[in-house]
Amino acid sequence: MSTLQELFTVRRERVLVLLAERIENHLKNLFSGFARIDRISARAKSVDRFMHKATKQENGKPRYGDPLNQIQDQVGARIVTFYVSDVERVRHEIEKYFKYIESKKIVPESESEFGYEGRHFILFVPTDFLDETLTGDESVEFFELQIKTLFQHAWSEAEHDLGYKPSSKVASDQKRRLAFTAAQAWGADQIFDELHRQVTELPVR
Amino acid sequence: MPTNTAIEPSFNKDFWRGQAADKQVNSAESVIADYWIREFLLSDFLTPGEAGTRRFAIAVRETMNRSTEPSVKEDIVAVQTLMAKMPAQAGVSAKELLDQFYVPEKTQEQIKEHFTRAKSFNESFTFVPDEFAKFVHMRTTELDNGALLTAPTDRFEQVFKREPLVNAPGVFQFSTQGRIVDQRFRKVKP
Repeated sequence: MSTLQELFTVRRERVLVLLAERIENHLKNLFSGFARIDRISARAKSVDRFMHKATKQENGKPRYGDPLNQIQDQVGARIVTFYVSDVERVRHEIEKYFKYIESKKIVPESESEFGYEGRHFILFVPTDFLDETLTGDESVEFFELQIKTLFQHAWSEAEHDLGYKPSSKVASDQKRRLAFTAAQAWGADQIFDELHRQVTELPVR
Repeated sequence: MPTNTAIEPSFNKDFWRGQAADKQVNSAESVIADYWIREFLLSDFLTPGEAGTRRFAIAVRETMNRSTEPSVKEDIVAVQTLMAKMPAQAGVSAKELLDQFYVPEKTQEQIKEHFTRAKSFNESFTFVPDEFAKFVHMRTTELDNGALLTAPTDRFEQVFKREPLVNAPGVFQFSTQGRIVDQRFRKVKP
């Protein structure tokens, strides 16, 4: 009997890598000519990251009973925009061309906190990309899409690289410094969006 | 109301995808059908209107641009003219749209070949006229004397008057009137 790692490795090579490539090309086609998109990318989750997520515990029990079918970001895509108002324009366009089961604007829990921000979707894989030669168990139904500004993206990449996780114990001073950088990214986003609106004569919010 | 609603067995994976057989969706009672499907079941077509229309429009455009058969191109011009005036239509497939306009099987087959997945040809979506128009916006007719006549698709017949020449089968005289607002060079013929 194959282990979870072996099963995911096979799925990744047979299905996910090609699917990510198709999704990336599709998104690039949809947004070609769309102003102020910095980059569009999609990737198949790495085996290490999948296994790390799949074996997570919650209240002393495995968080996922059926990780191959329950983990919905086995393919992840990202669209990075210039300004905050562009995130909403992209969201609107995504909702026209994809069906979703989840759409979340991720912001810190309280107004006095600064941290990770972004718009996350769990979208149905378009039927055109479903490989009819695969059985239901071999394929995936969903992929994750993140829409972020350049500053949100830069902050989350650096934070991720430093290895801090919400669950890990971070020294108080480090927490404050991380929050400070997040606040700066948030402030830069607000000011650039205001400047953009002034320059293009859009109403300032 | 829906006569049958089937949900796939795997709760983890297929819970979100089901099939609702609705016999009223294209009838006068579509408001009731809309209520049961969209508000009561909180469901909709798996392929959004813009996505389904885009896929169909790209297949029509590719057939127009790549087919080598004049009769197929004539069919597509006729279909496009009719579709430009069509309102949004819910629950229709590419096959049903083409059947509505009695598009010959040969032309339908060529259009179907430009779908990434053959099954999508029969998949239901809401036809969105504005989305369709984006992909067939300009029409170009090329003559064997080197002329390329280009105009917005929906006004091509008004912009260029076409008259068959007596004693020259298949030869037409095109005429148009207007002020010159721009002229361009292009590298090569597309």
